[in-house]
Amino acid sequence: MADVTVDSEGIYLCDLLPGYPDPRLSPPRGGFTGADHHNVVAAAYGLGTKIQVRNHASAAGVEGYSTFVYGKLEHQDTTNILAPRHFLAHHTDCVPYDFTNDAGTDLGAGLSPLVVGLSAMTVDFFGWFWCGGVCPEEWVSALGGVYYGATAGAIGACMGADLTAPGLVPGEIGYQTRAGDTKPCVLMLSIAAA
Amino acid sequence: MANVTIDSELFYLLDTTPGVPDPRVSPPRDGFLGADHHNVAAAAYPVGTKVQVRNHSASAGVDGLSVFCYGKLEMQDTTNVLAARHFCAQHTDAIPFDFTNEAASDLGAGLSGLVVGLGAMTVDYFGWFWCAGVCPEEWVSGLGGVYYCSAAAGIGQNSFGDLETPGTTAGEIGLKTPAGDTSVICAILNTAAA
Repeated sequence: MADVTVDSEGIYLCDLLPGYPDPRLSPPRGGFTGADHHNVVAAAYGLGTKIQVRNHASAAGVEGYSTFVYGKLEHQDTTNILAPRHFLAHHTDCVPYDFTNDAGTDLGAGLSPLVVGLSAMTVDFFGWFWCGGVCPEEWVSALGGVYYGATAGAIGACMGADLTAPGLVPGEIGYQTRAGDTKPCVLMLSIAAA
Repeated sequence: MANVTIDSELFYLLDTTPGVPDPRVSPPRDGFLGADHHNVAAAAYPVGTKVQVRNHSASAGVDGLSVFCYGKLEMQDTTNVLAARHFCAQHTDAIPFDFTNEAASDLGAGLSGLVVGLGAMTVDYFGWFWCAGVCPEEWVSGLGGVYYCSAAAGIGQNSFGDLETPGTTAGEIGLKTPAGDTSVICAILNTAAA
């Protein structure tokens, strides 16, 4: 498990969460990890709010669009507590935008959309998650770097994998080659390396 | 068939119709069922117009974003005439946003995107359909309640099923586990249909 890696520039996320970004909304003043709205006990934005930004290769990462969504960390793995670059899935409480990085509380392997945590968070607190597009490492530098795959990931469409395998340094991970009747939620632009 | 059900709060639609919501278009003043624009002989909005709204759990349903699209009821089942909570598919006339809830005139099981009717309509008339996101039951109360599934739908990604089976109270339905690589995945269930 967690035996292959891909660089943040070699993947992008397919947004499978409800709703579209609102072009009338600007990125938060303090950035997406600002203390006024990220990892806060009371939601500072409407749940499900999405903001699209442009990532500039001249700053970090690749050129392209990225989307953040506002949601809640409903639960986290006790060993691999949430950190930047952790994959999360829908929580079994069935509430949209409630996420978990704990295999014991997600909907199931490959059955859920996929988002990525920006930082450590407190359980039941609200904040931003990367949910679509290229890696927004210009906006959240900690998102740049290596992502781990649960199996040998191939180029192209991949689905959310299970979260059962403890990840390496960045913690829990979850993408693998698509298998069966599932909708891809990650596109890999390069082969994951062992 | 129609032997399993799921509550409106426990799934959301993936938008498989063309286009994204126009943030400059506000929800109709008199609601999406207003007589000036819904179920009218002459289209009051350009066909394909999409409006995104926020659904508030404090009013009804769950928190999140929902999308309505403007289209035409091209055909309906003679027995199960269109009603709120009926699933509709793309009509075989191959014109985008021409919908039907009749199996004989849809593109085929699992081959088409999915929208939901808001209420009774006249064939060949124009109006709004719920096409994406969480159930907007705050906006159209008739959308809240039980939806019927044509087979044992599983948690996670589900494709549109066929419309051949007359539904029960709510009429024709069509959520089921994808049957093959041709199925369009258009809904995500956050719990198993029962």
